[in-house]
Formats: sequence, C-alpha cells, structure tokens
Amino acid sequence: MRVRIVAACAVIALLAVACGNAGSAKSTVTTAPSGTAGPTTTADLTKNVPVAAPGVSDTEIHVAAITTNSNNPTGSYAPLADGVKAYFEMINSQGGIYGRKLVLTADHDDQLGSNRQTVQASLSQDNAFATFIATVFFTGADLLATKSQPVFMWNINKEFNNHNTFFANDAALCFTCAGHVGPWLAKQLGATKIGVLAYGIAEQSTACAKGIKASFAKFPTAKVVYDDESLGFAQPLGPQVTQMKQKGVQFVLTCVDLQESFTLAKEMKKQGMNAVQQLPNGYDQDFIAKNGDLLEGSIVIPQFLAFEQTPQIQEIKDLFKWSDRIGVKVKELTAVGWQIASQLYTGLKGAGPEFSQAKVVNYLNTLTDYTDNGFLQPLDWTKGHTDPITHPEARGGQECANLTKVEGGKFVPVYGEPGKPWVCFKTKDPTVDHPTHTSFAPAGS
Amino acid sequence: MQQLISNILSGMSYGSVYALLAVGLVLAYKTSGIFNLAYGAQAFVSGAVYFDARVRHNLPIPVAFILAVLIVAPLLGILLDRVLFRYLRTASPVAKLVTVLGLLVAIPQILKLWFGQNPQYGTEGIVPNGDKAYNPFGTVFVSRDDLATIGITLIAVIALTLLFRFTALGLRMRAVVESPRMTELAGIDADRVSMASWILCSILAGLAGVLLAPLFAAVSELNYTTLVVVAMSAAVLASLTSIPVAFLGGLALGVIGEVVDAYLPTNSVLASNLRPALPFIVLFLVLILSPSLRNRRHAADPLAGVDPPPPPLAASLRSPFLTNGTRAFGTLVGLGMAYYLFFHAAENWVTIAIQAVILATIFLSITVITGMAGEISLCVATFAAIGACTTAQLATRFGIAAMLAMLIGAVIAAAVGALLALPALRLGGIFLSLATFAFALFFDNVMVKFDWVGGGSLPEPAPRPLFGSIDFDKSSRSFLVLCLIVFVIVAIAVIAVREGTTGRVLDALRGSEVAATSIGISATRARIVVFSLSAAIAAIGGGMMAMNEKAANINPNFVPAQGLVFVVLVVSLGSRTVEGAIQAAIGYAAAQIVILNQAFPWVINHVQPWYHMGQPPQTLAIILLSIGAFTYAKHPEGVLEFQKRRSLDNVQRAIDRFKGPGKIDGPMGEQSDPSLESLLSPGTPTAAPATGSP
Repeated sequence: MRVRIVAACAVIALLAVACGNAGSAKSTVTTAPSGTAGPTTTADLTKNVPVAAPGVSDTEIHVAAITTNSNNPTGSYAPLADGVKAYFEMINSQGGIYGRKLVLTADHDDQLGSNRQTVQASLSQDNAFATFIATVFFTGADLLATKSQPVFMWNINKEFNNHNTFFANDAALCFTCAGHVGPWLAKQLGATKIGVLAYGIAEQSTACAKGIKASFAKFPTAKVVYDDESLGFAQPLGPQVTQMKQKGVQFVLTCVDLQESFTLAKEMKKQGMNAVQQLPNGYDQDFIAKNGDLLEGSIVIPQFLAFEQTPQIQEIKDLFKWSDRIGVKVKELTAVGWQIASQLYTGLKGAGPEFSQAKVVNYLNTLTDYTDNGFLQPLDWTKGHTDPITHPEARGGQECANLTKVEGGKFVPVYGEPGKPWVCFKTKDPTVDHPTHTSFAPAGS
Repeated sequence: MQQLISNILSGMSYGSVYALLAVGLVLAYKTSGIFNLAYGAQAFVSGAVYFDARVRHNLPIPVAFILAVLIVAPLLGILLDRVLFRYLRTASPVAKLVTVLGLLVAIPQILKLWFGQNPQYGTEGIVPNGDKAYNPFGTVFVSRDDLATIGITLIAVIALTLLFRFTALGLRMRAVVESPRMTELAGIDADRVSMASWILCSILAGLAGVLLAPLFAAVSELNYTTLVVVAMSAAVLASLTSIPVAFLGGLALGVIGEVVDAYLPTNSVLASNLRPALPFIVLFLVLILSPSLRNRRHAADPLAGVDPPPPPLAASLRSPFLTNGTRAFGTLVGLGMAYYLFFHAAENWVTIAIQAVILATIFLSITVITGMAGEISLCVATFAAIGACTTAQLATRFGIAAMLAMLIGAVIAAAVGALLALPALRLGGIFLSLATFAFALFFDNVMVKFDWVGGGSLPEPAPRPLFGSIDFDKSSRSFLVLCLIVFVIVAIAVIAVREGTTGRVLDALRGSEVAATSIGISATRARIVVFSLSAAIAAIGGGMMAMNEKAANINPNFVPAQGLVFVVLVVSLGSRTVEGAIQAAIGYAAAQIVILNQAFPWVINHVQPWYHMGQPPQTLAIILLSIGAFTYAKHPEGVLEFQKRRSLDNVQRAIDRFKGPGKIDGPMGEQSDPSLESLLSPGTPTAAPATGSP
C-alpha cells in the first residue's frame, strides 16, 4: 500500500517538477484586433449590408448581460439590464441601426459566486455581439478579454483596468489618487476637521481612505483628525462616533456601503454629533425618500449627472420616458445601463455599416471626450483603460463632480450654477481655488 | 471614565442580542442535543416578518411584535421540530450538524423569495421613538431601543432560568436531553417535550431577530448569520450547558467588542486584525482551552452506543457479476462522456467538466475526513484557499513551476492542518466542527487580506503549467486531461488509505475508540494523519482551481460559506466513496449551468407570477441543494449510496428470478446465502467482504 502511495506522490512530483508555467499571468493588457472605422453619416445608419460578426443577423444585433442579482449583499444589480433594454427600446423605435434591432437576448444572474462559469456559458451559448456587466466579482474578465468582445460595464471592478475592449460609465478608477473635490467640498462646508472611515476587510475601501487622506494632504483645506480604516462589516460605530465627536469632526468622508453609512447616521444622531456625512453609495431616490430624515444634510456625488439637476438634459428625459415605456422604475443602475448601452450604439455608429466587434472597439478607443450627451463627465478612451496608479500620466486632464444634498427626503443639487451643474478642476491645479462650472450637454439640449 | 461607561452601555445593547442568541443555542442544545447553526437564520425570519408588518404594512408595534415573535417564530419552531428535529434526537452528531447546515443555507433563501433579495432599510424597534437618546452622565448616550433590548433580554433569561430550575417542564426538558429513550421509559412523552423546547428556542430567536433589527441599518441575512458566530462563542463559553454563563458571555463579548473598538489605536496592525477576528479567536481559544470540553467526545446518553454500526458500502455487497457489469457500464459512460467532451462539446461544457473534476478533487478531502474519520471539518474550503494562494504566489512571484507550487501548497496545508488538528481533534463532534469553522472565518477575515496571501486588491494571478511542448494555457481540453490525471492520482491515494492500515485504524476507532485504544491504536496519531491528508487534498484542488481560473479567486470560490455548501453537498450525497465526491462535484458544477441557465429560464417563462414579483427563481436551485441535507438523518450513508443500495437490490432480485431458484449469485459466488435483503437493511451488523469499491 505504501508503495502505491509513494508511486502516486512520485508521479505528481514528476509532473510538477517537469512543468513550467505557460505564458505570463501578469500580462493582462488586452487590445482589440486591428480594424478601421470611419465617420458615419445619418443616412448610413439605415444601410443594411451583410455582416459576419457574432450575434449579428440581417435583422438583429444580439447582446448579453451578466449581473449579480441573487445573494448580492448590496442589493440586486438587475436594474442595469433594465437600462440597457430601455435604451434599446428607444433606438429600435427609431428603426434600430443599420436596419437591425438591438436585442438583449440573454440576461444572466451570476449569483455572486459563479461569475466565471456564467461568463463562459454566455460566451458559448449566447452568440452575443457585446456583453453588459454589473457584477460584484468579475472573475471571468480574462475570458471576455481573450475573445476581444466589446464589454460594457458598471465600473466597480478593478478587473476593468488595462483591458482596451472594456468600456464603462467611468474611466479606470484611482482610489489612492489625491483629488480636488473632497478638500474643495470641505471648504464649501466650512469644515476644518475631517473624519475618515473605511473597511479594513476590503482592500478597495482602505485604498479609498488613503486617497481621501492624500487629497487633504495635498490640498490642506481641512485636517483629517480622525481616521479608522479597519472597520469590520456591519460593525457598530459607537466608539468611532464618540471619538469623532470629541475631536470636533465636522465632515465625515466614508468608503463604506450604504448600510454602514446608515449605521453611522443613526449613531451620530444618537450621540448628538452634528457633522455632514458624504455618502459614497447613496444615490437611491427610494431609499432617501424613506430614510432621508436620518441623512438630512448629507452630500451625495453621483457617478453621472443627477436626475434632479435643472434644466434636465434630454438624455435624462429620454431615460425616464423609455424606462416608463418598458415598465421599469429608474434607479442608479438603470441610468448606468442606459449610459453604457449608449456607448455601444455610439461604437456601432462609428464603426459604420460594415461593423465588426473590432471596429466598434477601435472607434470607441479613439474618443477623447465622450459624455453621453452630457450625462457623464468626459471620458477619454485613448487612456481611460489604463490603471492611473501605475501610470499617473493616464489620469484625465480634469476632475469633475456634480453634487447633491439630502433635503426633505430628496436630492437637491448644490454648488452648481444654473445650466452648469458640473464643478471641474484641472488635475494639475495645485489648489482648489479655481473650480469652473460647466455643462457637458450639447448646445440646446 | 465616562467614555468607558458609554462603551459598556453601548456594548451591552449588542451584547444583549448576542446573549439572547447564545441562550437560545444553549437551550436548543440542552433540550435536543442539536447545535443549531441555523439559529441566525431563524432570527432573520422574525426580523423580516416584523419589518414587513411594521414598515411595509404599517401595523402597530405590538401587533407586529406578536406576529413576528409569538406567532411566526413558534410556528417555525413547531414546523422544524415536526419535520426534522424530532427525528434527529438520537441521530449522530454528524447527522445533526449536516441537517442544521442545510437549514442555515435554505431558510434565508426561502425567506428571500418572499422578502426580496435586497437589504431593507428603515426598520423600527419595539418601543416608540426608539432612537430617542438619553444622556444621563453628560457623554453617555443610551437610546430607548438600547434600554428595551437590555431589559427584555434580562427578563427572558431570568424566566428561562426559573423554568429550568423550578418547573416540571424544565426538568423534563433536561431529562430528554440526557436520554430520550430513558425518559420515555419513565412515561414522559419526549416528542411533546421536544416540541415545547423548540417553541421556546424559536421565540428566543424571534425576539433576538426583532431586537436586532433597529441596531443595524438594514434587515439583511448577512447581519443575522454573522452575529451567530459571536453567539456561538458565548454558547461555547458556557460549554453548551449553562444558560446564565451563556448570557453573561454574550454580554461580555458585546462589551469587549466596543471597548476594543474604543481603546485600540485605530489603523494599528493589532486593531485592523484583532477587531474583525475577535469573535473567531475567542471561539477557537475557548474550544481548545476549555477543560470542560475535553471529555465531551462520548455521548451522555447511557443508551447511546447500542445502535449498530453503519452498514457496509453497497458496492462491497455486489456479486462479482454485478461488480463487473457496473464497472463495464461505468467505463462505457465515462468513455462516452470523454468522447463528447473532447470531440463535440462546446467550450462551456469543457469548462464545466474542468470545474467538476477540480471540485471532485477538493471533495475527496471530505471523503477522507468525514467518510473515513467520521468528523466534520468546516474549513475544507480554507485549505483549498491555502493551496490556491500558495500556487499563485509561488508561481507568479518566484517563478516556480505551477505544479510544483501546488504541491508545496499541499505540504503547507498539511502542516497547517496538523497544527490545527493537534489541539482541536481531541474535541470531536460539534466542537471540532466549530473549531474548524472559527479557523475558516479567521483565515477569511484576517489572512486573505494580506498581500502575500490573497494578493491584495486583485487576486494573485496563477499561470497554467507548461509540460514540454504541451501548453495547458492554449487548450482547455488539454487542461481537462491534466485535471483528470491529478484527480485519478488523488482518488487512488484516497482508496489506498481507506483500504490500508490507516483506513482500518479509523474503522476501528469509529467502532469503539476505547477498544481500539486498548489494543495500542493511537487515535490522535491516526486523526492527525487523516486531517493533514484531507488538508493536502483540498489544497491540491485549490491549486488546480487557481490554475484553471488563472488567479487565486478566494472570494467567492473558497469563502467559509462556500465550504459549508461543499460539506452539505458531499455528505448528503455520500461521503464514504470516491463516487460520492464525483457525483457531488458534477451536481454542483452542472447545477449552475444546466439548472440555472437552461431549466429555470423555462420556468421563468412559464411561471410569470414569480417573475413579476421580482424574485430571481435561481435561488430555488440553492434551496433544492440544501434541502438535500435533510435526508442525511434518514440516510447517513448518503442519498446516492442509499439509492445504489436499492437499485442493487432490485437488480439482484431480477437476476435471481432470471436464474431461477437455487442459482443465486451472491457476494461469495453461487454458493452464497442469498440474504441480500438482510444485508441491505440499514442497521444490520454485517462484516464487510473484502471486495471494496471506489
């Protein structure tokens, strides 16, 4: 018996020692195959020519979506697919593109733990031209990247970085980068003492806290007098609030989820701490309508132009109109779905009637100022895929935000100017004293 | 000083809920012998019902409270007792544990079909204006909710203590735990007493669920199931026997948590590591250091041990004809599947096959620890994580060949397993399981976040191997072959161990540890060997998984909750055979795609009401898998082993009928006694014939 075990071990050892490693696991940068795309005229949009691309027939262009719905501790991401459907409904009502309708044919739930398997199944079964992603984990990113399929996603996964076929509602995130908005906001609020809270069990949360501290170190409008980057999930915050109160914190910036922000608000109320909280994940109208009293005065900075900004841009009006038409309620993720579906459409337009996956990717990667008609701050896809932590030169030239404040159970736009809701800073500006107010919507929108 | 008082008061509020849960755990264990890991899930049910009644339907607080705590909670207790728990009283500790693990997974999923998948915010406490705070000492803030929680918990615990000490019902409950059969001989209806105790336990869970809701921001499954770990620590502090100690333990843990939060320097290594791990560290230390837990391996029931040992494997009872036939059939099916996979199948089926083979390798570790040693380890996924991390780190950072890195990972896991086993194995049963679970939670909460373990913000990449001119990165089919080779080698090793000296030693220990020890068998040595072997096997599987996914994706592949699902699945299907591990792996891997992506879309299209409720019916798959665990108490050999036994019986009968009277083909050949029927009856002591089978 021992001989058999030793033999088995020997075979494994032989295999192991004889083996090398295939490729370099770190070389994850994906580039799309070559293909050219020229400008497309409006007349071209109705031209239907045979196209040999996955998911494309003479009458339809099929896409797939993978979202985390079941078992998602932060709530279902299914509304992303609703936003995509709403956008497609609008385009299809106008005759589609190149004589084809845009159709979301597969809507997968990766159930939190099966992203890779779901991506693989989608790649094998769905025959999709593009894939839309909003998932907690994105372990199947390399599979999609290998296929050079255009991927449109909600940018919350670090796997987004360094893949030129991935597009999102925001460029590659830089959690640890120093930014202008936090210090400028503290100045607007008249806050001189800052508190920072982050999870110690989530690396991105800790990195976010480092970014906040770096911001106030670079732009010292206020001083970080308390920071705790070692919170556990669903942790009571009594001691933290006590200490922040003792240290006179006036503005609390957090890198935690909505649940912990809510816990913080409750504890602050209990201990009578009067400080403004910035909610990193709080742009949820239903939530604020029900729980706004506790979060009164909190600042929320959406990833896109807030619905409440006036005058409302046409893109937001369309989002509500077509979401209503397909019977879905607009939420934060519905808007993100709409924005990334719009990017697919833009890519198809740019690729021309003889479009391909590569042409769509290549066209989008030439865009330096994409805003989805003013819904987003400008995206520069010539460098927006690159990780700005390892490549600081990839950071955009400006940093923008549009801000809202919770008042009476609603989001109220603040710090903007009429018709100019975005507050922007030059990335290289060494101070926060020169904000510019602007709008990215097309003239007359 | 005032801050300390504030921290203590604040901690007492959370501590009260921990205490309630701990008291409930102890009560359930005292009265039924079941350590109810699903207790948090029960609390979640009442929390959700209270939220629905109070917030969604705007019912008055007393009505919502009565509905959630005094109606739904006891009804759930009665249901669980009638359907499950009363059949578990005399079951083995493993059967009890597997059943509650199934409940732990199933209850929240079933509830969320009604309650919704998303966390629900804005719940209220059981007193009006619960968030109104009092400030008696200047800087000490106590809310009405806090006071209500502390007060109600105190009342509940005093009432329980009185019940146990001074009432006939309490006495009967304690008697039923000591020996249900002896109690029944004394004329007491054990079933009725059992039901009373489960009603009480469920009310306590309901009370905790409702009191907890306003302490957290949202009614969310995760909050409840996480808290139970703290409650477990308190319950174990009480050696699962003393309600007052459990109560004080829960309170103390709540207070200590707050004080640690307040006084440890923020962002220090100690704070960032100790805080999230405190409950697990306490649980583990109490388990391994508590003298009262040392001698709990033996059941207290004087009539325990009179049950016969489990029957031999069905395969060992087969006639040579059937054995050969089965093997031929298995070979044909295997070849057919291989032909399809290698020449016709779409890429996703190859991916599923790879995942199934790797999972089968990991599941073999459960075959070893549970099937052979009869212990339940809840850190199988953690050892797989150790293998995955080691493989990725060594291969990527040091350029070591991936397969060699995987083997080093196996050695490291074996060493960690041995270190864990040394203090933990003397516990046995539920306590060993809890110790392994504490270790799993500690690893997941503390170790994985280190860059040199989990890889930092992105999982550490793991390359696939290169063997001469064969690049396993280029073709998934070639990687499937590699996975199959590794699996076969591991499976052969497992069978070799099972049939060798170690396997026989473990058989002897399962039969009678005292007898085995008396003839010189070292139980500790045998168990450490098996624990290490199990850890190494899981690590090999973890390493292969990392290579397959080209990264050590600990989250979500190898988190502790995933480990629970692994155990439930393998044990309920059959943990004693390699075949059981294979079937569990195929079921797990294929269920994701076949059931969820193909069968359920059909359901979605045909069962529109569910779809319009917005509840993803995909959760039904998880429910079905976990409900499988409920069959374990009835079929401890595993559902598949049971079915195999029945099928064999039927086939053997058909063969016997075909051959006619007097021509019986039994295990010993044509001359053997045709008493298969008696051999197939569970519970009949039978010597296993020499012909084993994987």
